[in-house]
Amino acid sequence: MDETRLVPFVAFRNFLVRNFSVFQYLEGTKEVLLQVLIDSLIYSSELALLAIGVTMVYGALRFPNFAHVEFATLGAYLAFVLSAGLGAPLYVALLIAAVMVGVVGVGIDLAVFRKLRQTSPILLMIASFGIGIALREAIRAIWGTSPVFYPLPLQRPLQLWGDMSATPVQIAIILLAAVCVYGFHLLLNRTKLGIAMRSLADNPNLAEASGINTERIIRSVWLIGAGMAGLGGVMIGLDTQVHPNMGFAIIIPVFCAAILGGIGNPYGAMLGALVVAFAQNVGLAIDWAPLASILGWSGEGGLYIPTGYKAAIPFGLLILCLLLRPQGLMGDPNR
Amino acid sequence: MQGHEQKLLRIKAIRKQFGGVNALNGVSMDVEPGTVTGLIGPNGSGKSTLFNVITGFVRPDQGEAVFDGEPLNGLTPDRIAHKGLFRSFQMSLQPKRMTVMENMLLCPMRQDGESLLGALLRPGKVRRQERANREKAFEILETVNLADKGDTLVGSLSGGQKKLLSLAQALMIGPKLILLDEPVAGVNPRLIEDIARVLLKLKEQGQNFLVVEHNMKFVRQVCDVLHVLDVGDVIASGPTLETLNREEVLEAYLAKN
Amino acid sequence: MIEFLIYLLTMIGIWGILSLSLHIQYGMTGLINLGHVVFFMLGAYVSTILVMLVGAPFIVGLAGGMIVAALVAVVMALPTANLREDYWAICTLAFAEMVRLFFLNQPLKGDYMGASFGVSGIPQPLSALFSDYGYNLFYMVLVLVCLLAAFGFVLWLARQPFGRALKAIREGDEVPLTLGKAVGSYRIRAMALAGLLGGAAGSLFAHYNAFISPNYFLPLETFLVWAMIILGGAGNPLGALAGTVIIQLLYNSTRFMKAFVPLDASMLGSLRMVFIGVLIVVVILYLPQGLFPEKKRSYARTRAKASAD
Repeated sequence: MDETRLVPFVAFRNFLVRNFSVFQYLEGTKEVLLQVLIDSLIYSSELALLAIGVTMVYGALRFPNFAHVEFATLGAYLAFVLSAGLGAPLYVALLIAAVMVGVVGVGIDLAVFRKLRQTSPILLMIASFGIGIALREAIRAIWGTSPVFYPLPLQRPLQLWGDMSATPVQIAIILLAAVCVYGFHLLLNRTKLGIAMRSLADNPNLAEASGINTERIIRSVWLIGAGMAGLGGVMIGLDTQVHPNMGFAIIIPVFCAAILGGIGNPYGAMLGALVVAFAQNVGLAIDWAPLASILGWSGEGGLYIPTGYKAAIPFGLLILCLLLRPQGLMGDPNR
Repeated sequence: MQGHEQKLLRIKAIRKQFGGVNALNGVSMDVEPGTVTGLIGPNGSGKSTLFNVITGFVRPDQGEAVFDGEPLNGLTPDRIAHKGLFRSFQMSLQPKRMTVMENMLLCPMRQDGESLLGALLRPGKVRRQERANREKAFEILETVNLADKGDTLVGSLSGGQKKLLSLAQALMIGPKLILLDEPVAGVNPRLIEDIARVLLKLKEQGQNFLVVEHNMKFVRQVCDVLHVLDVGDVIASGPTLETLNREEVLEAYLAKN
Repeated sequence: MIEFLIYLLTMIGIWGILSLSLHIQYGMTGLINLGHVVFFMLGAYVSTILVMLVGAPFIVGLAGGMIVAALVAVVMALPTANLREDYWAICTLAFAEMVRLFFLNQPLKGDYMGASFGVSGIPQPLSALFSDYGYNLFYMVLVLVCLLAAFGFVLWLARQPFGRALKAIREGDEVPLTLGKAVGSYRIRAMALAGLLGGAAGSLFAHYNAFISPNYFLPLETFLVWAMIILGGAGNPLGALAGTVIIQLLYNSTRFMKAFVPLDASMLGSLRMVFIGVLIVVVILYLPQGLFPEKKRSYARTRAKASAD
């Protein structure tokens, strides 16, 4: 390993530790902080694509769509069928799957949620939960419980910087997510549709009052939101594996990202995804012993969050956010 | 408590801002016992905000409200209700899925049956209280002509009937001061006459009212004293007829039209 | 066949108590608890721990499970004062998952008890007194008696001024506050009662099944209870029971379908969940009041009776 490349980071850390006692807890931090950086970027790419859809629907239709994560699962399986089953190249399968999932999203809205526009959020929530379960179990019934994998060539990790490494697919995931997010940003700011989507997600009453054809915009929100979720699902599948629970497994981190960023704010969702991903990976990497000993803990060696509790970090973050600042990091406290 | 000079309700320099807009700009006014006090003003003058501050639903930025010698600041609405203050409900807030009788039976405070221990250990007392409350409720409903609607869901009542229910609920409690929030808005003229008569009769029996209303005929009929609010300030106070003829008041209303 | 019926009725009893617990929260008070399974889980685990690790008798386990669930319910109720209902709902979902994560990671004793292995060999109360077959019958009767008690309790609660206040709170905070009701305190008490019932169901389940694991307490279970009360009718305790019967019948029907349908057990299991998911959506769309809508409380007859005396 090339130690010299880490020198600036180590030096900075030591500087912080020596001069500001509050950073004592960094003393024992593992040297894998760089790997944490790349892992977090990959994870936040996957989360962002799902969180954006969740936050837009939540903002525009005023309810949390618990079925949204299943769009990811559906996308992953559709892409699998297209690539492993029908032999299409991966990037083609990916695009077709995303579009198909987008259409499914619009279909579900037309079949169910449109008829419930005026009802209380709880009925919408339970309905979305039911749809989510139906989708997930239908996928499980069709494709079975065992995980499947995309037909990828063997992935050799590339040394990027010091200890930090990533496979070509993982780098592709980050780039693809970046392109997608940038494209979405252009849509939101340069097109009439995008601007209407933004205002609808931000303040549905105001948007309606200003004469926007809300139903049409809502359809676009579903098409793009579900499509992006499908894309995110393929990415998760490329990174790890494809199995029926893959969407539901990250429902809390996705909602955490959406809520951290402020409901209805797609940029907030991107920021939230970064925060959640980093918090989860950094939280596992940090040695909490110095902090814990201030509170009276007196053990030997380092104190790390056990990997079994990895999921607790976004759970805890979500609960803290909702209790202390429900409008999110970027939201307006008066709304 | 103290002497006859004791004001029933004192509002002292209440200020409230909502996101940069001054809803209340240092409002001060008094409500004397034995009167029907009116609070009028064009739309957006801050009347609802003032009611919300008095009843504890909104915290003022500055100033205080004192009711019967006791400060109301910082108290939650239910504690304020226990001090003898009642505010009539906006129609949209009344529970649609409960019947008229159920709404009436909600009113008495400190019912034994409202605590679990009370309901478990003193079932006889709870039954007796329920019976007494039911009798009283039926009587009051008769005086406001709602007796035959006892088992009707509130959601099925007309606007005027909902206002009558709110009044009936006030009578059920018998508070020291009743705050009426637009008691005759959207009510047909015959019913308005009935409500005015009920109010005046109650006033004779010693019930105090603070009334917010837009209907000037009604205001002239029932209110002894008026306070006029415009854009968060009290611009005039005094006996009803005299105040209504004041220049500032006429101007304020004309400006809004 | 009789054995299956006994099993089914026992399950209906246990889940019926769980449904009544959710009925108190949502049907009576309007609280949207998406982490409802946490009471079930705590009742099961606390009871198991008390009986297996501390050596307490079953009745103490049952009481312990109920009390711990009620205490946790109180903690969950605290944020309802300031938090919007959908935000609180998401909080409860996350909270229940956190508790499940704890039990998933935390071994109870030694290397193989607790954590992801679950806990097996949970003692069954009075098992020595009965034969295998007789015991199942006994436990079914025990559970159904508890269900009857819970049902009676809920009916009684609804008739009290306490229940009336809960109903008003369900419809909105402003009116009960203006009438002097301490809304926050009512919600906390309602949650505590719901916790007691949910914990009881959990304890009864643990000692019946003799095995528990975190997999029994997934958010899926919460959804099933919601399905039961929405299908049956959220505002009506009878609806909670009706919904429980129907969903339990659906859930347990696959063993019969296997004879007719040439699919393997796992696929049948998935299909029944698809069916239940779709069923709930259909109910929400076309029968939102459920099979048994809320019954209005009538006072006219009492008046007529009194004036006739």
